[in-house]
Amino acid sequence: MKMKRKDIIEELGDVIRSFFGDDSLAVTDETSGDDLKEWDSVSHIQLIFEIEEAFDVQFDSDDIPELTSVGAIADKIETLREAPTA
Amino acid sequence: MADFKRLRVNLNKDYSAFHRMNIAVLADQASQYIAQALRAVSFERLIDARVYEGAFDRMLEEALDPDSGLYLSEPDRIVVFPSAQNYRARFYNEEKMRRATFPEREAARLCDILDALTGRSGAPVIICNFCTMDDGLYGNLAGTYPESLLSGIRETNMLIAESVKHRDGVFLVDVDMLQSAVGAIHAYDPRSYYLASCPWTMDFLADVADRVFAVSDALTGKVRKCLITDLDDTLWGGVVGEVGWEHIAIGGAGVGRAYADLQAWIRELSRRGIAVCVCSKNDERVAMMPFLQHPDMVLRRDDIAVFIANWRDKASNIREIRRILNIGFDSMVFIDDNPFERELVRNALPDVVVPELPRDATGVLSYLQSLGLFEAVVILEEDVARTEMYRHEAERERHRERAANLDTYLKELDMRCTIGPFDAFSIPRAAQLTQRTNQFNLRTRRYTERELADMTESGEYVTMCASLRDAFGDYGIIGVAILRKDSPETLFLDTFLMSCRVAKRGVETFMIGVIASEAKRDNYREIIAEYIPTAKNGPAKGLLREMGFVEQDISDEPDDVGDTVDGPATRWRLALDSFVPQKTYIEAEMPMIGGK
Repeated sequence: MKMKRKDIIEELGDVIRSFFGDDSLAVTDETSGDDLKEWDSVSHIQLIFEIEEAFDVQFDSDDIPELTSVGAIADKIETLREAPTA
Repeated sequence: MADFKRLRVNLNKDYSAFHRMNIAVLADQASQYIAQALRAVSFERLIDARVYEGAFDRMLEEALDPDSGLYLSEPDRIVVFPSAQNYRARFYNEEKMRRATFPEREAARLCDILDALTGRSGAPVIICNFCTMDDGLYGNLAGTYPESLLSGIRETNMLIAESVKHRDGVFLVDVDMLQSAVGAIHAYDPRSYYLASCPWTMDFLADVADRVFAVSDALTGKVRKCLITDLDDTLWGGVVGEVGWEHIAIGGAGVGRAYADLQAWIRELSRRGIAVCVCSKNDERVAMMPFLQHPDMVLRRDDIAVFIANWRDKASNIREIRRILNIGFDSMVFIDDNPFERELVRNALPDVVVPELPRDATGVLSYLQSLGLFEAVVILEEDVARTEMYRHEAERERHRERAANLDTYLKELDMRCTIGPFDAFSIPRAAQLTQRTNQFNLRTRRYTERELADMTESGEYVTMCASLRDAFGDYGIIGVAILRKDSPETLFLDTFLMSCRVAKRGVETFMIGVIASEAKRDNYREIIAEYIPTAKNGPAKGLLREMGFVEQDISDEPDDVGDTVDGPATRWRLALDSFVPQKTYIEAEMPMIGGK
């Protein structure tokens, strides 16, 4: 089941807002760790785990350190969801 | 297992109304995650935990350096949390011939850290043991082969437990046991370990944090002292009033065995000093029959401290139990299979712990055991004898209701009090009383055994323990007084406390009578005392006046006397030249107290 990019960003926005406990956070394709001071190295891995849970995907450990923007995460989710499930 | 996703939300909440607690964490892994778990879990316990994160893998250095960030953070609690992953790394770097002694050296390394911490800070130290781990090198031989990683960690954990036992101010959080409860697969996360240097899942760290606060609470006397249980379909299957005591489900095979095991657990609680009480909607005679007649009942009448079976609402009955036992609602646990009764008690008495029970009786025991309801940092003889004492208290209570007036009642109690200075026997109990007594406590100074021993040896204090027994039983040590020799004329009442179990008996008057008479004999002229209010010591407020002390004007003194959020501290004076002991109904047994 393919998800539109827009829907992925929207859902990522929900996960990120609830993760940081800030309902007013605007989340777009461009949002990254540089814009959000709470998105630091300590919260990164936890945020990634929560995104995995929400989208029912698992990122490769190689990729996780690079997934520091919403766009990069959305790209990876798109790739994983297109790949045939084992 | 905790759900950290839910707990994380707490991090953005307002903690300002809570009691602040500085916690310093020393870990050999990224301590930020442990810190976050502690902070998030503290909200659930109404604590504003501020966590100092020790430098990465610098446990010993931080502990040894008196100017380290750890000590500067002025910790109220210190948590030492070593990881099995680092244990393994060091173990692999050992030469083969030195591996047999590695577990001891590892424990010694931790002991050095513990001793440095307790030597430089007065804060209680909480040490986490290692999560047992096998590296698959020896299969099932690992457990019997001394040079395996598995045997090594097990031995080190045993040695850690041993060293905690022999150290004052050091307490264990059994992380290994938590791991076996949830399973290593839920405790360890390899991705988190390799990408973020945190081997543990956040859910697991939240469980650990919860245990840290449980131990921390127990240190300040916040422990559960009482289990109140319903009867029908909680302690046995079926409604005794309908089926008759011969036909309730208890013992035998199937679900009856689950009830019998639950009862056996409750009997163990009773033997360990938890007051087990019954609160049931039943006719008392009917409700009592299984305890007296049924051969398969494990719990018997003597295991129950207070037995209440009537048709009043359960909240009122629990209030009655509280009145008889004279303990706080927050030290009570109530179990009942009926969701309506649970909800009623929760609403009426929010401080009472009311676990949601599994619907199926076979699941109740393991669920209750998993909750960590009955935390303790020390078990003393007095604790173990407590059920009997509570039962005596219930009998006294009935007697009091019958006695026409208080004087007659007190006289008939035939109270005998033994008073003496601190000694090796009494110090553990005295320390426990300073840590636990909240209500009848003038200054709420908390002392460890070591501190009390030091004070006793210093010669600068007059110390005193009071034990009481009466016609119904022996209370053991129930009162503690510590007086500092400020000058040849003046004694300062550093600590004066009494267990609330003996309130309204004249014990405080008796104690002060002995103290003042002995002080007068030793040519002291006055005793100075303070009352420092706390949220809980309201009952002690009037003690000094009742005992003949006169309040002093301290308005022009600097910060000598600490005011607290709970009100201004007051200073009192007892002039010894005009002191006359007040009358009590207590007889002295072997009065002796240390002189000058």
